Amino acid sequence: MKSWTLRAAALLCIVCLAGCDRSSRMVPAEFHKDEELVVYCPHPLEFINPIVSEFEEQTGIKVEVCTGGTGELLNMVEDRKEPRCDIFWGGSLSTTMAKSELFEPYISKNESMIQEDYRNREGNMTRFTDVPSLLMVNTNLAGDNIIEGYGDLLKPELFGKIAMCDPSTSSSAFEHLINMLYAMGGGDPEAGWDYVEAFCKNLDGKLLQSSSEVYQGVAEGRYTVGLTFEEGAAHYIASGYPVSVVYMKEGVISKPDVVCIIKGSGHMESAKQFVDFVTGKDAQTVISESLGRRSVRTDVNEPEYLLDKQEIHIIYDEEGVVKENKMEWLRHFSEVFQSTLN
Amino acid sequence: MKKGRYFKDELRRLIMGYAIIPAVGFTLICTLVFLAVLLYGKKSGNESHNAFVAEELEKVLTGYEEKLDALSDSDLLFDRDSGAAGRMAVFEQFYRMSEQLGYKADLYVFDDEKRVLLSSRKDIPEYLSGREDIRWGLFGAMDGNPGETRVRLMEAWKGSEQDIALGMAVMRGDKKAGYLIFTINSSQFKPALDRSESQTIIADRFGWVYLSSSYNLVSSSSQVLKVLETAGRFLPYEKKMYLISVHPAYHNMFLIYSVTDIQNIVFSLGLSSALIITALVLMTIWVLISTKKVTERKTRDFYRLLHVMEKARNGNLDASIEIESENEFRIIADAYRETIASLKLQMENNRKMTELVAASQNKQLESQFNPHFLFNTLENIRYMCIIQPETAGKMVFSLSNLLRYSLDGSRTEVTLEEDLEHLENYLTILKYRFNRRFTYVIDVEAEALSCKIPRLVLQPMIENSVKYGFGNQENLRVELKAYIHEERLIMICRDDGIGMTPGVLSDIQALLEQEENNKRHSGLYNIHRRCRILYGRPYGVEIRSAEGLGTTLVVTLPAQREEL
Repeated sequence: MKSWTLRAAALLCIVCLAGCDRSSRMVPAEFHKDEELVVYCPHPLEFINPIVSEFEEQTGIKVEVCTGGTGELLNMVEDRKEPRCDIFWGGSLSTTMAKSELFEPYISKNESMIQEDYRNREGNMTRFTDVPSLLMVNTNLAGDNIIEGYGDLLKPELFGKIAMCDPSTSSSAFEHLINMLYAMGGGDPEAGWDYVEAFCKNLDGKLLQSSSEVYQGVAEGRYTVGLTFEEGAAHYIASGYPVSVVYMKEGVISKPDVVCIIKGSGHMESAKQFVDFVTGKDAQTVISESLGRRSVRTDVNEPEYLLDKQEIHIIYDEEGVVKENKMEWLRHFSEVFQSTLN
Repeated sequence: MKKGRYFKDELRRLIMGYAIIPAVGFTLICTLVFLAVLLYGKKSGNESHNAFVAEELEKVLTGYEEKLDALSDSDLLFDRDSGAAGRMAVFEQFYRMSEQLGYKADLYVFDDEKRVLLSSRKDIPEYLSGREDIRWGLFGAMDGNPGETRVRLMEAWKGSEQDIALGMAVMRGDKKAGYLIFTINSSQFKPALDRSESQTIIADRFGWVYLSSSYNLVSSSSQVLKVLETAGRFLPYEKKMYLISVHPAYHNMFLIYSVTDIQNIVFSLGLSSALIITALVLMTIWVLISTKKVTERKTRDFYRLLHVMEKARNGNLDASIEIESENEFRIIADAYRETIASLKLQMENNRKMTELVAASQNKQLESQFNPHFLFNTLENIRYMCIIQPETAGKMVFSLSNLLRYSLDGSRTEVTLEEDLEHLENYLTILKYRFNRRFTYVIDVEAEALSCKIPRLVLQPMIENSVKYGFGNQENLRVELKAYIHEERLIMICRDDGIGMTPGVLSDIQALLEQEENNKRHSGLYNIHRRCRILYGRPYGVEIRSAEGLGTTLVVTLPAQREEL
């Protein structure tokens, strides 16, 4: 009798275990792609999805997208987190330059069509788009305040109403820091720190963690003015939000962002295809015409809805100096900001 | 008692084996079956919902593909001159199709230069803003394969929703006439997804989500999570267990995932198993304790019976049985009591009977007097009457004393001293009869004199020596000894006669051991038989002899002293 019970129990266990068999995949074999490219990308999703899905449709290569802040994603690449990154797409040149040792040298086949200023001089940092820094203003909240440049951000009326991101996590914020230092220092970054100090005091201790919080915050009225980049703002203008953009009258540094292959990528061919695709004429045209960015190509017109670059007071930084001082400047900024908290 | 303990344990095992284990086993099996049924129900629910969504999608997309094909043949489409009437005809046809399929779509017609001709909505989605010079998006796909239906998953207005766009570059001859496009917004499938509690994801072949009711298996970039893509039937994810069903739809362009949270079932499975096992342990402990008491109580009468029987086996028939309960044990006890009672009666009768038989036998044996001795003595007396009349008188006196003693049936047992006194008569006769040829010595411990012995034991011992001792020998010397050794009275009669041949010795020994003596009555047999009857084994006569060395008789009796 006992052995009968035991046998029944054993049988039941076997049936259960057989039922729990997890070895077989549920997804049919034809959906399994050999090539699966992993792209780390700080861009907004509305920007990423159309380009990536078009790339997938045209090449048949499946892409897995990981989003996040530039600094955070770069750290993930360094730490070799899973899924292992193949392409680092986005992030301003100033930020990614400091980690250029992570990238595989590759000159895209479109390099000849790239504007002179945005050529891949380093060999492993293909420029993707031209991203001027700017101020985004909520027109409903600004009222009579005329905001034309960095100088106006020191107005007491804007105390605590400025959306600024932590430069150590967001590449667009770091671009703004460089821009401030050069614009307000009159070409000498060290001279710009006085302004940075005054600016930090007017932040009322508020520093955001992600660049998306800046443009969302301004568009949704949490802040009056935000320090962001062109495309982030353009998207909201196009969507009919009560926002406007201000190109700083003290000077605007227009830095490109990059698309790079990660060293040791297991999908080198697909990765190269991806770089070629996003710097290609089709992708760049779409980006320029409907995604709110300026192309780096010579054969793509500037978008009609963006201010002509000729009318912007463009200034330039020194790439060498920026690369060399990045850590020091970030530390300095953090120090200045911390001091305003007390 | 050892067997009895086994019986008790057997009774306990019986309760365990036939009550507890089957009960717990049955509960366990029922629970497992119940959960298996529950799981199966969830699984089939998940599966059927998944299949339903896949079928719906398949039906809608195939339906619209057919409609697209049918509508593309209409000449009214790209005819700018048809005006309001043409427009109306096209839309009438389109709305009818839409109605048939049950899922609403939007219709867009573009001319060959990607300008809008007809639109069912005021605003044109971003992805349909055509560009002349580049190969991109839906237009790019349609241009790549003119005359064929292309299906793409597109991001709808503001990226908050997705559209499935079916489009075709319509050819008239070799010339491109324009584009016909249907778009189906993901919101159309929401009701289908909401029909089940399962989380369902509709994704394209690259894992981009068209519509999802899942809250945690879609990445922030709106792609299906890798864990789901590589999952088997069961997916453990973020400390929860999910049941997965997957169906492809529409030329393997779309995948429908259905995911059901079975954490509750897994949890209850674990919990109920734990509970049942705990119950089993507790019940086992309880049963071990309680059955000990119960079986002890229930088997108490049994053990009482057993105890009494055990005593009876050891000879004690007087133990009584106390049975309280009114069950079968009482009947057994009563029957046993009756049996024992009748047994006791029987035994008492037997004992009495034996005593009677022994007494009569003893009487018969002790009254036997050797006729040879009588004859020989009388012959001697006759002879003496002639030569020594005085001696003859003494002999007659001794013989008459001897006869009186042997005929006195009033007492069975006498003291050794008494028997010795009467032996003197016998010895006197022998002395007269054999004169110098016969000598004797009597050596009796004083202590032994008061011992009780059967009447007339000593005389046959001497008689035996005389009978077998002389042979052709001139003289015979007889020694009679008596002493007490280890609570036994030992009487020894030793002579220096011719002894017995081994054949005679073994004959006599065999004769002694017989229960019934059918041959002539020998004196030795007499005393042996009487000792056995009166005292039982191992008392009686032992005979040792060797040819030429004389004979020794040993009579052993219990040392019973005369009570004063």
